[in-house]
Amino acid sequence: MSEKPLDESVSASLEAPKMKTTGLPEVDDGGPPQYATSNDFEPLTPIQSFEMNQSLLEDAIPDRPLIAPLVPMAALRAEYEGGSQVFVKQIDWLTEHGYAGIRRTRGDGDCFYRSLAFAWIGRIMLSKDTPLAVMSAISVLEASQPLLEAAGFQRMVFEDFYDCLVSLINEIITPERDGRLLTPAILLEAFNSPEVSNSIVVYLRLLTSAKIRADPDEYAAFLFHPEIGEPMEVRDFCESFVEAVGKEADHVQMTALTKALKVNVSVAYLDGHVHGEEGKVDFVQFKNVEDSTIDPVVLLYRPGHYDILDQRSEDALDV
Amino acid sequence: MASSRTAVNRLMKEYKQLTSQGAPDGMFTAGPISESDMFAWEALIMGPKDTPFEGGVFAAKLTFPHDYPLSPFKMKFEPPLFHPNSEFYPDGTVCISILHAPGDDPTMYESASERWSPVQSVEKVILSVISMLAEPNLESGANIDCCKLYRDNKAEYERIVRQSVREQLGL
Repeated sequence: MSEKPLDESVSASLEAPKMKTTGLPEVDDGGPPQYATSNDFEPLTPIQSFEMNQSLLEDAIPDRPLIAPLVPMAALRAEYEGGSQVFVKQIDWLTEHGYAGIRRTRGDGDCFYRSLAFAWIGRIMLSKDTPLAVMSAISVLEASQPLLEAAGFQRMVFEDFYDCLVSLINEIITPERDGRLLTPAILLEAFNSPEVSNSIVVYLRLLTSAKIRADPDEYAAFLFHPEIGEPMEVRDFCESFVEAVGKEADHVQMTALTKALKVNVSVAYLDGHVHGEEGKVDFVQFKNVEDSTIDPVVLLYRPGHYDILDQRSEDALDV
Repeated sequence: MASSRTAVNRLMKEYKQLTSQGAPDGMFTAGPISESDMFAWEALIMGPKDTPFEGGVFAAKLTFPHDYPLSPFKMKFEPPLFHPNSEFYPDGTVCISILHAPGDDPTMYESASERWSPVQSVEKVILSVISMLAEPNLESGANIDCCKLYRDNKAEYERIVRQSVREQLGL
């Protein structure tokens, strides 16, 4: 990857003036591009349409780091200054309520899982009782393995992904072979290594699926095809919209995963709606533990995309 | 290369599992062509019973990406198969949905299910290829002549398949 994360705020503000006609937030996430009716493709061979599709997909995914460094909220505000004032007010509201920074994630459909994993590990590192937070996280993950096996996933399929996540969390308190502990900079680097980052995303996807499969009565009523809106069978839903990499998470997946990880998550909805108090932002809470040793993870939702909110406006420097 | 350690681990495990337990009903064998390169495999697939492919042995090359199993592998019959489905390209490449990541949709009309995910494996993919050999799906037929033949003159279709099987066996 050749991203220069430091240019993030600059490029963001340069993008601001274009395509503001609708006043909707510009979120560059999104599943596969939409196509015209299949008739348009009849003259194409499967190989041609495959190549066309690939190039469309590549255009749709901007060249952005998987997880970017923290930037001040002003960078996000700059994107909306030429557009809807409701969004600008909501961003100001968040800033006034203590959210000084935003950490962007790549809009590749995995942003919820990646944001949650990164922010969760970040919270563990900042815990008042880090060793306890590490041990609770690891015991939750250990207990998740039988859940995955019960859902029918072979150990062979998930153990490498599991090891990747657990060893990263372990590094917070147990030095690696080279004697170093996990620092914010190493965490950021790890999450920008596609192998590590995607392995963790895959584990969380399998865990989400296993949780839904383990408790079908709890989730079955909420499993709908995200495009067609038809009810779906648990298995079809999990295979198509949970386990499959690049598929957006919706409320069901978020509920299942935060419950499986026993983590409290709070999601700020930047939706451009006016709710009474000017610019007020609604938060959706996923509360799964009382007296957690870590602060809740806070994510920012804009239609189709999740980023991470933070009280700090820039990353701490490694000492 | 750090980015392929997971891939090598996983391929070793799949290989061990295939060699120790074997494929269901001995329907295929698969493994690395050379122990020095875990990313290039060969599979030998037995023609399914009660189909015109019965008695044939079909060789396919499997090529794994360095981020396997996050990304799927590629599969190519060498020599190519005579089969009505679009999933079997004339050059032998196998293009079934399970070998494509979600969103990467070469034919546009595939349902979102049975896509590649790290939950899939060499064994699962080859088993779906075998089931497709046994029951061609005319809905997705690209080899139009072959489809017509299958529909209108099944005896002739079966004769051609059997003949190609014999040719491959060198008879």
